Amino acid sequence: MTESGKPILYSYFRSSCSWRVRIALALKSIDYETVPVNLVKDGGQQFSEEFQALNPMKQVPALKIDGITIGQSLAIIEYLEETRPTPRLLPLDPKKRCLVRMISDLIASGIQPLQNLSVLQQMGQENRLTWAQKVINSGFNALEQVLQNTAGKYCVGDEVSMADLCLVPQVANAERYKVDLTPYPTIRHINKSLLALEAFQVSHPCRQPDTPPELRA
Amino acid sequence: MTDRESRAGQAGRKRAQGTAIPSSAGTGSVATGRGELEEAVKIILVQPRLSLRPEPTCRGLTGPQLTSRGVPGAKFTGVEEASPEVRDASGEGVCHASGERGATQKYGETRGAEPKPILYSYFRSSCSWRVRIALALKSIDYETVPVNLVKDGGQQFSEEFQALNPMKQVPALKIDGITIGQSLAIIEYLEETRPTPRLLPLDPKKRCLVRMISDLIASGIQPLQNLSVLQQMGQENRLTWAQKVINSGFNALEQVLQNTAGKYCVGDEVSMADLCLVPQVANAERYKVDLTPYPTIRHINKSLLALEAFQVSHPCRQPDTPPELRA
Repeated sequence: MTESGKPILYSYFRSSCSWRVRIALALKSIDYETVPVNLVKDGGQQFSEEFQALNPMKQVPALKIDGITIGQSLAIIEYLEETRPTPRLLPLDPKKRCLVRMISDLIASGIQPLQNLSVLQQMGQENRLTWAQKVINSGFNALEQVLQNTAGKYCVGDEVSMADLCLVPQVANAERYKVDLTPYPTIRHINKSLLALEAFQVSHPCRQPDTPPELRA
Repeated sequence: MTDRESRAGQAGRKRAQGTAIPSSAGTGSVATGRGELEEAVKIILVQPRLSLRPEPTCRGLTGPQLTSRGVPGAKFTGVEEASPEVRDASGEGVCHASGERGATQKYGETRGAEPKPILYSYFRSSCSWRVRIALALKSIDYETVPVNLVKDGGQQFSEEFQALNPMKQVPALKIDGITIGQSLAIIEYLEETRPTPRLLPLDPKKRCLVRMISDLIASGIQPLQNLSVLQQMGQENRLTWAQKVINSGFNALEQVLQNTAGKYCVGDEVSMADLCLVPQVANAERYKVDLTPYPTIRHINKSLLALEAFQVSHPCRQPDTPPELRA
């Protein structure tokens, strides 16, 4: 924690996983400080000894809060939910909670890791775009079908949930990798509704302390 | 570990019925509607199972291979399922593999009102194994519908399975009238609805550590060496890739565990993190990863494998385990 006692978020402006946590912090009105970790510069600042001591997973986001430092965006969000429960990010009903987690995991395990920077760097430059598009399309295909059964105004019913925190950053990734979103009307519609909310705007990659000037909103 | 009573015998439940089975020849026949079975040439229809008939189990080395399939026309979520009749492609009679290692249906005992949960599983799928362990730990009696990820081009890609689980993956669990995918979402649901024994500690910080370790494995390692990813690369690159991914993840995990572990991943109680660890170590062994650099991982893995729930759920003891791999 800082001298002021605020939580510290280790974040990269364009990291979709970091964005999920930024949205949660914004929705729950938790004031925090950002320590930017540039995943590309200096060979990747996440690999520094200093950061590795903080988070052995050498990844962002990591959140220092209540005397502990935690990694993994969904574990962080569930911790915030359990310790700062309003507004809710998970419904009360166990079946609906399950749907929220299922959709979150579909994105956070089934799509994002496969197009993560560290994975793309394993393949030739010429293959990266095709790979990312393939992975995202495959996942969005499944997600679109799931959402047709679960969605109301948002991913699960009409309340913003952890699933929505995963959706928006993943759509941004899809756009970044030039995925055609035409086949996914439900995803597009929900994404648009969410982006209108303040928490999704203040946390946006284009408005972060480490956003490069040319990408700043 | 003492046997626990199965929940399946509670009074007032609906009569349990079985599930329909696929074409064993993999013709990919798709059910045309709820409650209907499309006639596939090679399916041999047998007498439907009656609720009062005692259930043979076929978990052992002999007995017909379980070949049941998902409910035709079933909606993915939130819809109460009609339960179609049971069929057996072998023609040898009905067989259900139960994950329950002890309690079985008594002769003449009326089944409760609720059907047993159905787990769509592949014996060697590490994600399926996580859920099998949870079901065993919580003494939840269930039926297995095997989904072979390799045969017939991958049975998870059948239209029928896709209707059941659009993610086209195992595990999927049909329980309490819904069908859910994603192993950790399933486990958290089981935890919230069948809370004993606990798989998540009470303390929020410890729960966070459990989830963090689970996600490290379930998001950070397994998906990167999943079959569907390995199939994207040339055969000659797969082993190296899998080893790289697992080593990278285990490197981080070993460091994390040095701070969190007691007897198990987080303190001294078995948690969701342990359910993720054991199957991932099995994957590591399968891909010939040298585990010498990871003493904490090895030690915890060994302790967990001694527990009954980790044994009954083991890939070598599943209904769809091939004979040459069976324990």
